[in-house]
Amino acid sequence: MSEPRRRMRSAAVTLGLTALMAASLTGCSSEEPKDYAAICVNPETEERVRDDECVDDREYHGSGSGFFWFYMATRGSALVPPVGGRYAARDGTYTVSTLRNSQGRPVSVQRGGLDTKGGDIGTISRGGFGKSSKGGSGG
Amino acid sequence: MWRHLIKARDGWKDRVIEQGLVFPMTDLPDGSETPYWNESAWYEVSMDEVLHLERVTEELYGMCRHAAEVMATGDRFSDTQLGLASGTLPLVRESLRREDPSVYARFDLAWNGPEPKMLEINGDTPTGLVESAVIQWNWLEDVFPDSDQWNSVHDRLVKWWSEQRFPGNEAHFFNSASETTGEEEMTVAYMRDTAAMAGLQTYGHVIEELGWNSATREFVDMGGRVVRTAFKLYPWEDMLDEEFGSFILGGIEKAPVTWIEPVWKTMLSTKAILPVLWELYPDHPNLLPAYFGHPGELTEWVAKPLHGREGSNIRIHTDEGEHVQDGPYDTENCVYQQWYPLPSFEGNRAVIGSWVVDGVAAGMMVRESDGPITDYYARFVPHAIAMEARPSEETIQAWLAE
Repeated sequence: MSEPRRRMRSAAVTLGLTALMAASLTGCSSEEPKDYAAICVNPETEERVRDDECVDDREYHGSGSGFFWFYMATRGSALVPPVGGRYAARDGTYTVSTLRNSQGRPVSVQRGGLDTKGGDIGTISRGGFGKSSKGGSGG
Repeated sequence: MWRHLIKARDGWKDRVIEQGLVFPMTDLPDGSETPYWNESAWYEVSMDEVLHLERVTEELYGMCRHAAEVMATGDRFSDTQLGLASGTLPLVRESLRREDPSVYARFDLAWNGPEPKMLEINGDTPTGLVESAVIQWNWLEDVFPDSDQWNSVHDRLVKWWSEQRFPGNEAHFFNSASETTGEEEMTVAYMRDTAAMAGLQTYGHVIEELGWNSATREFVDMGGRVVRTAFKLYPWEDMLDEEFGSFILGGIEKAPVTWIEPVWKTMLSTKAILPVLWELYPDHPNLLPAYFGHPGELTEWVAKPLHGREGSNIRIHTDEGEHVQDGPYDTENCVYQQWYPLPSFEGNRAVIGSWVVDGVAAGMMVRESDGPITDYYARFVPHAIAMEARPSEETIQAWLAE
C-alpha cells in the first residue's frame, strides 16, 4: 500500500461564534405570525376606510351600518385596496370567529396597519417553518 | 479497534462547554444525568482500520448517490409511500439534475466482523459534528499531543465553503428553536464559523423566524434581508410539509434559495434508501439485507420508521425477543433491516459514525450505548490512531490538495 492517506487537520481550531454561542446560549422568543390581517371597510359602499374608523371588532353579518373589520388572509398574495378604494369580497371575510387554522385552532389576526396606499398585501409572514419539528432534527 | 480506560482531564466539563459542546451531560428520565461526552475512555484504531473505513465510506457514499437517482427517477416510489409532501420527488429530480451542492453526511457503521456494515446514512441533518470536528480534536491535543486522529472534518468544511460561489458571498444559517439542549444551535453555529473562516458573510437565527415576503416572493431573514443561500438543520421532509414548503414546491419563489443540504438529500435521510441499496447492490459486503414494508426472509430484524431519528420508534425482533423504542415518528411505513449486533467493548456497544465532506471520507466518531440501540442516551467517546506520529506540515498540505 502506498503512503497512508490519513489527513490530519492542519490548523488549530479557533472558533469565534461557536465559543460565543456556547458562552451565551439563550432561547429565542418568536412572535407568532398572523393568519389574517384586517382592513376597515364600510360594507354598504364596499369601500376601505381608515383603520381608526373601526372602533371595535363587531362582526358584520350582512346587515347593519357602520364600519367593520374585513379580514384578509395574509398567506398568499391578496391585494389590499387603498383607503377610499373598493375591496374585493372574495379575498376575505367579516366573520373571523368561525375560521379555524389547519390545526383546528382559532386563527390569529392583525387588525389594521396595512399600507393605506394599497397594493399587494405584502406582509412578511413568519413561522412557516418549524411547526412539525419533533424536538430534534439531528440524527 | 480497542477500548482503553483513561483518566478524564481535570475540569473536562467546563472545557468542552467552552469549546462548544454545551450539552456534555444527557438528562435521564429519572432526573439524574449521564455523560454524553465520555472521556473516561478512548478508542484506539489502527491506520489500516482507518484506511479501510475511508474506502468503505467513499464507496458507500457513491452507492447512496446512485440510489438517490434510482429512487427519485423510477416509478418505484411515490411521494406518499415515502411519507413526503406531494411534489417532493420531482423537486428531488431537478435538484439531482442541477447537481445542487451538498456539504456533508454521516454513516452509522457497525464493525463486528471482517467488514463494516452500513446501518444507515444521515444525509440531510447529521449531528455530532461539533464533538467530532472540534471537541475530540482538542482532546487529542491535550491528551495525546503526539498522536494522530482520523479527523479532517474541520479543514474540509472550511475548504468546501471556500470553493463555492454563492451570490453576494454570503449565507444564512438556520437552526430549529424546538431543540432545547443547544445541540442543533451549536452545530449550526459551528457550520457558520467554518463558512466565516472561508470568507463568507454569515447571518443566522432560528428557522421559525424565517420570513416570507408575499409581495416580492422572497424568503427574508429577521432583518428583512433576502435569503439566497441557506444552511439549515431542519429536515426537508418537515420543511416541505409546512406552509412555507408549499412556496418551494409550487416554484413561486422569485429566485429559489440555494439550500444546504439540497433537497435531493431527502433521499439520503430516509430509511427507504436501505432496501434500494440492497436491491441495487445485492450481497454487497458493507450492506445489510433490507426490505420495504416486510421482513422478507429475515428472522432477526430491526424495523425502522422512514424518518426516524436518534433511534426513536425502532423495533428489534430477535430470537431472544422483541424490543420497542418509544418515539414520536410515524411507524406506518417501515423498513426492515437485518439485525446486526454492535460490537461490545466490556458491555459498551460501539457504533462508528463516519463523516463525508464534499463526497470524501473525512473522519470518525464513536458513540457507545449500554443497550442494543444507539439512542439519545448514547455516549460520545474520542478516538486516536495507534502509534502514528503526526505527519509533517508538507504531508498535510499534500493530503488536503489530493
